[in-house]
Amino acid sequence: MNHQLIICEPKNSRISDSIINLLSTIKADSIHLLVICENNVIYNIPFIENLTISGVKKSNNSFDFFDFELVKQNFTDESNFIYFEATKRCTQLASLLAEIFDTEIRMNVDSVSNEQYTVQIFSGKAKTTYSVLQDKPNILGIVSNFSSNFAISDFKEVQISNWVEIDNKPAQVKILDLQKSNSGISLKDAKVVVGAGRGMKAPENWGIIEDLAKKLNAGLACSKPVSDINWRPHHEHVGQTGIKISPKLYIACGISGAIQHLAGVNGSEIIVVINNDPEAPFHKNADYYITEDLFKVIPSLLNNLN
Amino acid sequence: MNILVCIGIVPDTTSKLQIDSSTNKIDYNGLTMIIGPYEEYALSRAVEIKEQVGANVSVIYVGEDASSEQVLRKCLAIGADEAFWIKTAAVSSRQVANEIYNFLQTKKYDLILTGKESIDTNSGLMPNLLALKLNIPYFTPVMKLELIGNSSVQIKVEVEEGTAEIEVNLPLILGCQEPIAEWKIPSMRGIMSARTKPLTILDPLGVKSSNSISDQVISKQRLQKKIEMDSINDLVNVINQINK
Repeated sequence: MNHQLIICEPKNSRISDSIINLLSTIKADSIHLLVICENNVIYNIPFIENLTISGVKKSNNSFDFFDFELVKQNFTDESNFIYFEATKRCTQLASLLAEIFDTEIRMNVDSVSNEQYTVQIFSGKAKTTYSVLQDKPNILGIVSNFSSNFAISDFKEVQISNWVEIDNKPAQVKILDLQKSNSGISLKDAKVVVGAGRGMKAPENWGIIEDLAKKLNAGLACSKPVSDINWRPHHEHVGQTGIKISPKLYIACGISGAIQHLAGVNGSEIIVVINNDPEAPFHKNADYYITEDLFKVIPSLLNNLN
Repeated sequence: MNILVCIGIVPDTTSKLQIDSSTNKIDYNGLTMIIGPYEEYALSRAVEIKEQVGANVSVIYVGEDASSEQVLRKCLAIGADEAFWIKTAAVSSRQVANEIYNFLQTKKYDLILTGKESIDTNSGLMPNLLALKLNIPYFTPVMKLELIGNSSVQIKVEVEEGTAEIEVNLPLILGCQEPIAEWKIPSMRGIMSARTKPLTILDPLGVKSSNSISDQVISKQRLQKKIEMDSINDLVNVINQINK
């Protein structure tokens, strides 16, 4: 029997594209989807044979922990594979399972078969292939842009009736201040990201970047120098020591393309670079580049885009 | 106040990775190895705390990189008081967490700092696993850290909704990222004193074998298509196509 468990955290009662792609890729006698969610309904469950679903109630406080003993009571090591999304809650639950079953846990898995799986390393600059453990569960965190050759087009709405009670260890945390991020589009999940760097010349010039991001429903990113001099907040910094992004489209404006920046954006499917310096190293790592003044290019894009 | 900083040793961020054809694994010979950048932020903050309020700062490394001693001496030059080196091939986050957990059976620390992730595996799992074993809280990524007396800290940490400033009791583990501290350049005096600070090599719990088969370097070929201002509509079409 090949049994597989998938731990995921839907947003707005919808499972992510990565999880759908994973479901379309794996072959198993039975698949169990464990959803960590606040509502009783999931709107986009693919029609797949042998798929069962249960829920874990998501606590309102993201600092809460899963209880080790309750997890131990509720899970068995019958699964050959335990997949999870790289959210804090999913990773914490998967880590507990690795501890309970005394097995390996790895992140950034981007392909898997019944014999081996591959893991992205060095921000996607390289990969390692691992053999699948046969005697213990393989606990694998999947990349946020996990892809599949098989498209699923039929989905159904599912009411969760089976709930697993494991979330009951409140964190001993005193919250002093909570600053909500204003853009609402998380860089890690964004399908389009607009980034800008020192070529913007001054922080007050960011209006056109924000307009472009808004028009494309994109996440906002910046280069390290720009966040270092406080032109932009640190949570927008994309690069080696900042956030790693993997959108379908990354538009970089006034960024030279230092290797440390590239390390954060390598995972992008298409890269567009707008930089008036013909020597900018970013051009060699771009799919499309335009060596003109960004203060001309971006308004022109804004006028012409849908 | 005893602070432990867990470090990894990784190729310099500008390194060009290559595969050793005899092993089919990444060839680390000839690469410049450095303290993991996030771990260096963690160490820098630990040293700042030591300078501000006094603390004993230890560094621990699990692995067997050829430049281990040199990198650990650099940690001492930056300002750590003591370094521990568990000499064994590091094959997984769980193995490293188990080794450090074992080390902690005889040493007590109030605060354990790590990077939010190591830049080779980008997993961030080690501190998560260590915290579960120790049954203490773990927060990541932490951008600001202040000690409050001897028993708690105020930190700024990324959460789902944005960022939160919270106060929590010690002991705990924090995964650090900028701008928690400025990287420190070792002073001449630091480099001199590092030579005589203790660097202890410890035996591992056991030697772990890896289930890794091979590595592969990914070089993504980009189109490198130049667009002129006159034909900016080509670019508009590309963007519209992707964003439809």
